[in-house]
Amino acid sequence: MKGEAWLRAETPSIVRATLIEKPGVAAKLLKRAKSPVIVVGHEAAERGGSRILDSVVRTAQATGAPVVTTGGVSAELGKRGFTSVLVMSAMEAGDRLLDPAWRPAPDRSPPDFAFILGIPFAIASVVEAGLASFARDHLKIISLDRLYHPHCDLSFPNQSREEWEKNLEAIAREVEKG
Amino acid sequence: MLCHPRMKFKVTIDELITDRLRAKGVEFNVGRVIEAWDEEPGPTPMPGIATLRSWDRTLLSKYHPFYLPFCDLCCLCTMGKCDLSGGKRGACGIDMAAQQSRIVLLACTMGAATHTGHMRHLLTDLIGSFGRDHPIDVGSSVLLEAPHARLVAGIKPKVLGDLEDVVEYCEQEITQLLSCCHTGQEGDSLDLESKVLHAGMIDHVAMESADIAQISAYSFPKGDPEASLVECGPGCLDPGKPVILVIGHNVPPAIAIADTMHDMGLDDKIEVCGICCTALDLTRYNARARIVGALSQQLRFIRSGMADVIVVDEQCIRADVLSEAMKTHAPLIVTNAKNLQGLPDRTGDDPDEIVRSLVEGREAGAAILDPEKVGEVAVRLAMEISPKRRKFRNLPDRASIIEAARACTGCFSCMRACPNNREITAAITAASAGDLAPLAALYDSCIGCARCEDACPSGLSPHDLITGSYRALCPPEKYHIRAGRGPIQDTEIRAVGGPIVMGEIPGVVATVGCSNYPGSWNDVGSMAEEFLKRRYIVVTSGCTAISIGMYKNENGEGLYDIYPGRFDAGGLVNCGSCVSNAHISGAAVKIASIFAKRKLNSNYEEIADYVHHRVGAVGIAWGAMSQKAAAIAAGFWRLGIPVIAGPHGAKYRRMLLGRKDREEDWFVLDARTGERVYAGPVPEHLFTVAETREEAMVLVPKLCMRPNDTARGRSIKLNHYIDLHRKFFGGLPGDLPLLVRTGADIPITMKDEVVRILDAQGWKETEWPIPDPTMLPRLAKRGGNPP
Repeated sequence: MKGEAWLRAETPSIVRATLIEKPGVAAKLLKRAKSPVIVVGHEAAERGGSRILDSVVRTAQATGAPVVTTGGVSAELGKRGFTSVLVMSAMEAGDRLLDPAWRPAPDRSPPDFAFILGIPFAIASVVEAGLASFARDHLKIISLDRLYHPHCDLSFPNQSREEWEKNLEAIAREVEKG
Repeated sequence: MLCHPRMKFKVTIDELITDRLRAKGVEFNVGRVIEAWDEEPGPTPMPGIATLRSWDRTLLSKYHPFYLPFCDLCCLCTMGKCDLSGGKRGACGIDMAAQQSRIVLLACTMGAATHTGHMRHLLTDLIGSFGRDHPIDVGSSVLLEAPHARLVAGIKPKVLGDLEDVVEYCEQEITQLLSCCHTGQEGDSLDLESKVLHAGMIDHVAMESADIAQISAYSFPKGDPEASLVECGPGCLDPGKPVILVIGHNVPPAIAIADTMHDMGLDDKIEVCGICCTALDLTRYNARARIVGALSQQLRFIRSGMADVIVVDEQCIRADVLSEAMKTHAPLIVTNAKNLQGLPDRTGDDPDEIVRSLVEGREAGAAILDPEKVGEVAVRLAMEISPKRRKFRNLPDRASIIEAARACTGCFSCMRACPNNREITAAITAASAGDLAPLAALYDSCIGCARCEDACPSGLSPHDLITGSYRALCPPEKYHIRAGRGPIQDTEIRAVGGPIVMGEIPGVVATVGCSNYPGSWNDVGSMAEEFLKRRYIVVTSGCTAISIGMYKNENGEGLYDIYPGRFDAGGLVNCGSCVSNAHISGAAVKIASIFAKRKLNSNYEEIADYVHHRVGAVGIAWGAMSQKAAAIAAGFWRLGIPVIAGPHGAKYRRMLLGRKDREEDWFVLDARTGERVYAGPVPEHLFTVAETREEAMVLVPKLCMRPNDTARGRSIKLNHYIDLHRKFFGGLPGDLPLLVRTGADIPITMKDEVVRILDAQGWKETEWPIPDPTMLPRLAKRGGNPP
């Protein structure tokens, strides 16, 4: 079940995402990326999502990755004093990532890695499928979501919320080491 | 020559001699005479699939498709399956982009075909009952009775028979559109998208014709803002009476049931109730009829056993309705050739024999394709069978729910089958310990699909446990909904046209569509309430109109009880069933025609150009599920009206998104001068999906902005946008510098903080604050190049 789409009827893509079995793998990718971007949706703030969002902030600060917020999660990040975020819908975020020339900020390069989490599966899976079809030549798509996302290059497996929190904290700790 | 408009005739001239011609055996065949109306035809009467391509391409240059492939494969022909991932092409040469557009076209054509098929069926029945010459009359205050038929087909229908010309046109276009989906046809994604928009436009023509036909024939409310409040919810039914349940969209059989009850003096003896649009339309005819609920109530109400007789017509009916009806020993009557459920055709049989065979249980149901006979059989059957069925009216009680829950192994299969990933497993675990509250709490957000029970390896039905827990713990559901009023009056358009176009009424929000909600149905009610309080005009139809009725505010009040039904600021306007959606888009067309006096007859591009740039309207299809919903949305897109769908709308496979960061995309022509001017990114998108209710609410005021907003109007719209952004997203929107044109646009109460943001981003007043915007060079004085 770890590497199956959580929604049973979801048809996996021809090439399925490689499982991220250890958070250290994701941390290495974050460090290796020349221009990573983190896209975080509202499910990261659900049901006591404070630990998830804390980890997102720590990871963004340690790597300098711009954060794109969707579904109103910007409000929760704002409460943590983290306001330098881009506010978009998941569709706009996907559309921008499709564009190899798009820059999240004037002083940033176009993203080469997108780390995606907290967007409802119904939306995230098809946005990722779109990126897999039309953006593969310039973008790696990594899912750090609680559920396995088959259309990405790499994805966390299906996991409990507690495991998810621990894995994201481990990533934050790892990237903070530099 | 005087003749009936539908008369076909032939003129034969044995010998014709003029000063220039001498001919023998000249023959003219005249297929039809369509009476002209006083307005000269515009450039595009009865447009074909490529006639409006230029307009579509103009729209699509601003709102480009963002594709969301549901699947990497194409499985449509025997050369496949073909893998289209990673830039590969199929055996036929198609690529992923064109394939996604093709699937969208297929969906929208199915939707338009369904409304057109419904219209054809309805019209045939109505002409059979009322005659071809029955007048089209949708109210004395609605002189512009058919804005879409006039705009697209150039037909001003006066009698039911005139609508046959309209439906023939729609059928012809749908055939052409469907043929474009065939292997080896259209291969360009944008040309496929143009055809999607054509399907949407045809859909609105068909919907409009269907609704004005039934309004005229059955004397439904005719643009009446004070149409009756009717009862809604399973709790409003008297369980002591026989119950007839109608499901679907084609109302004649249900009306025959109501008429038969009346004729037999049984108005107070039988409950006739419905689900989905047949219910909505029945209450437009008979305010004593009840609405059980939206589509999501279908399975749970059938399983409750309350219905003694189930009568279905067409669309949105569960494919397993017969087997579900059989579980509660309720006979099923199918009334429409499109959905026969394998039942024997009893149309020609004696009603006595049909009733007897169903009461005795010799047959599970019958196909009766004559509405009048359906009325007689259903009513007599309900009276006879009801006393024998009492024992089948049940749902699991508290003790049986707890016992069943103990069989759960906690495997999560139910959650993995649930489209909304509800916490079913935890709720069943709680129930096994005697706490039914978590299961009951899932009721509002369960769409009633029952995929959970097919997935359960222990044979449980989480769907029934949820329904049973809700019934055990919660009061009976009783609500009010205002019966569908039909079209918007011309007088209302005159009153609000100016404030809408100037932006002083901040927008028209159309909350429409199916009940495939990502969360509670209360979300659509709370969204409607937010915009009603803000003095938007909120219009609604279909299952969403029902869901809005099922919402109660913090004071326990229903929205239809406290907000007026007029088309004005702060009005909650229920137009009616699915086909009544055409009155919503029709209102936008009417603003262009009645308020702005633009020519309507066969003048699609100009009217759409007007609506797109001036009429601040946006659709929210929060639970959109069907292909019909896709077609309805496409009809709004071609008029340049944006639509926001709920999360499941992403499965429609593509969005139409603008790029506000690309200045070059947002130029228009100023019709006064012909100059090409920057108008700002408004409206920003044509079709997008919101992840949350809050995100949708922030999008609405932004998507209601138009280039033509006056400074006062833009200020009002910005006020709502900023306020909602601050409330739900925290802080001010980052795109204010793109939306504020001059200092006068800035909301006065927010001036200091807005100016601070603008200054920080180096904002400057635009040179062309309010153009007379158009994307059609022919409308600009001194010509002009395309924007």
